[in-house]
Amino acid sequence: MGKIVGRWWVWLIYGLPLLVFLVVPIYALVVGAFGANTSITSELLQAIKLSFTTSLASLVAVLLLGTPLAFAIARFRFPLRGLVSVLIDLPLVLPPAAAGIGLLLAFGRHGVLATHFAFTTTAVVMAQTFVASPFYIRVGINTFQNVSPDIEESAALDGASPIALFARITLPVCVRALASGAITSWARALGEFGATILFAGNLVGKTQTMPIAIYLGFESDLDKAVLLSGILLATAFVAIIAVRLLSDRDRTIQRA
Amino acid sequence: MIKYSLHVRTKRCVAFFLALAGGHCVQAQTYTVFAAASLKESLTEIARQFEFAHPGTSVSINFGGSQQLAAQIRHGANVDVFLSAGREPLKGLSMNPGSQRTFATNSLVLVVPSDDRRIHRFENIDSLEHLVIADKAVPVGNYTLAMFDSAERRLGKMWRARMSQHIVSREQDVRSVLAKVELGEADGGIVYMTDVLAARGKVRAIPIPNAFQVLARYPSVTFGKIGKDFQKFLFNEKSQKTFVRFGFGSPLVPSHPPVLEINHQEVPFGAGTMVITRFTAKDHQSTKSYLGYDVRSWLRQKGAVITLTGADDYSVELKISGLRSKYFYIVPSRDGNFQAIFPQLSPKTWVQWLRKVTIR
Repeated sequence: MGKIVGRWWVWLIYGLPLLVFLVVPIYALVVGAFGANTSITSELLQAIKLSFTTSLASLVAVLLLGTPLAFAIARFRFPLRGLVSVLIDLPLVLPPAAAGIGLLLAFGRHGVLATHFAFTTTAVVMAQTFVASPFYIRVGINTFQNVSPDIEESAALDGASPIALFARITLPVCVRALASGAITSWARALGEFGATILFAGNLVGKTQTMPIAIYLGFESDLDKAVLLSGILLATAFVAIIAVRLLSDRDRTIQRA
Repeated sequence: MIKYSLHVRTKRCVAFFLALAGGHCVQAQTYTVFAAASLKESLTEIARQFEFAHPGTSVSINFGGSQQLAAQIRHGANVDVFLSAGREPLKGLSMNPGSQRTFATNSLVLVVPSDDRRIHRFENIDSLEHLVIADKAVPVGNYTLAMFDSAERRLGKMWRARMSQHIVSREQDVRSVLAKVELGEADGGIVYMTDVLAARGKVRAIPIPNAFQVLARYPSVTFGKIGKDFQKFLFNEKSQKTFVRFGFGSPLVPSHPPVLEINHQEVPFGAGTMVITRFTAKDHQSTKSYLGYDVRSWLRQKGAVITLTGADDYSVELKISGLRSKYFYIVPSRDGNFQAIFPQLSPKTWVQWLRKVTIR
């Protein structure tokens, strides 16, 4: 197979510069993180802890609210459906800094909704949810669209209610794909910086997440910044492997 | 990066035609300047003046937090002049040795949203619910903490504790602090005096009592060859006036005659045997005649070390025994400053805006 389109190594050689370009900074981060001359301070630990708790909280929000939204868009026709679908994707391409300003103008004390969330841990979760939700919802829409209606129809004939049908039939079929979307979304939340620093500010233990600690560390303590970058890199690596495994299994199931 | 491309292009065109007409080539030169965020408005104007005064040149400025700019320079960013908001960021930079000159000063102020009428005195800052300050990673954050420290000595630990509880964010540069107060998202913030002017009426400034105030000194350093021209330009009268117009202090404005310290003892300036004499000295261009205080009587002690420091923090250290003619004059200038002139030495060692003379 593949002889007509040439040999693999020819193509690989053409792609090599990009591959090297992508790999070298990662290599440098790994080497740097292992060689970082720093101890785990309490400030560092707080940033790590805060990052994981807030990103998990935003994941819960995305799952609970994003799943019905994705299902609605995937399975129904309703007025302005196209517009809703576009709006959901907007945070994917909107610069996070712009998202932060938007959140501040919407949820700030003098904002459109005039809430008191700015500069709190909740604000961190909100910023993360804002930028990370499309990663899950997009996958959700595609997955729900691919579910064969036959399974649902036969279950409906047996008299299952719509909620039970969704929970017992549709969801189990889609769970792997949804999980891979959820992991991507969580990883994006973990790395969120621009919207967070504008909307939530920077306070150790309260709103200083790992990316913000990296940014400030670059100015004052590079070793600390490199170590945190290494931790985020390792997390991202694990997340991508997990997504890969889930979608590979999914494909084999579908093929079978 | 701010680049005055249109402006520059017009000027380059003019320069080009001038060159054609005059039959010689005007060299186009770009100065890369890294500058603290608080210098944004004033330096933008001074850079324009510099370009106007030197046709064919362009100045490209990168504004940011001083520490962040320093980090960029440490990692190899190409720069001719670095204007920092404090001395801390200069640590570990490979600037031209001895090029450090303080060109402006700044002070701190408490800002509150302009429609907020709840607070009128700095001491009541602990009653503000949402307080935003700069992170200690940037100079203004360090100055803020130093100011709080001295205020704490007067107002007590309880005051400090109450206030610290209300700090909701430590921002990465002074302009972010200002923006959050402007938006009304913070009830108060500590910024530089100069930022109040930049906010154009959206914030109200509450002065900080002199007893707690800190003086922020802005040092400039140069890298490579061409930076010197731009650095020198910052010290001319017009540039200094521009800085003052934007709320900075000019270190060059004399407040008192130079402080004289001989063997760790302060001696009143003008006391003893100081005589005004006429002398001649050769500066960069020509030999001039000066009228100044002859301070030879201070220098009787052999092996003594003289240190002369100017208002720009430039200092010269000389050992008396090592010099053939070991004397200098202190020359008053029209603006009330003093200059130290060594007639036998190169004008490089002369100290302008003399503030302190130490002899040991």
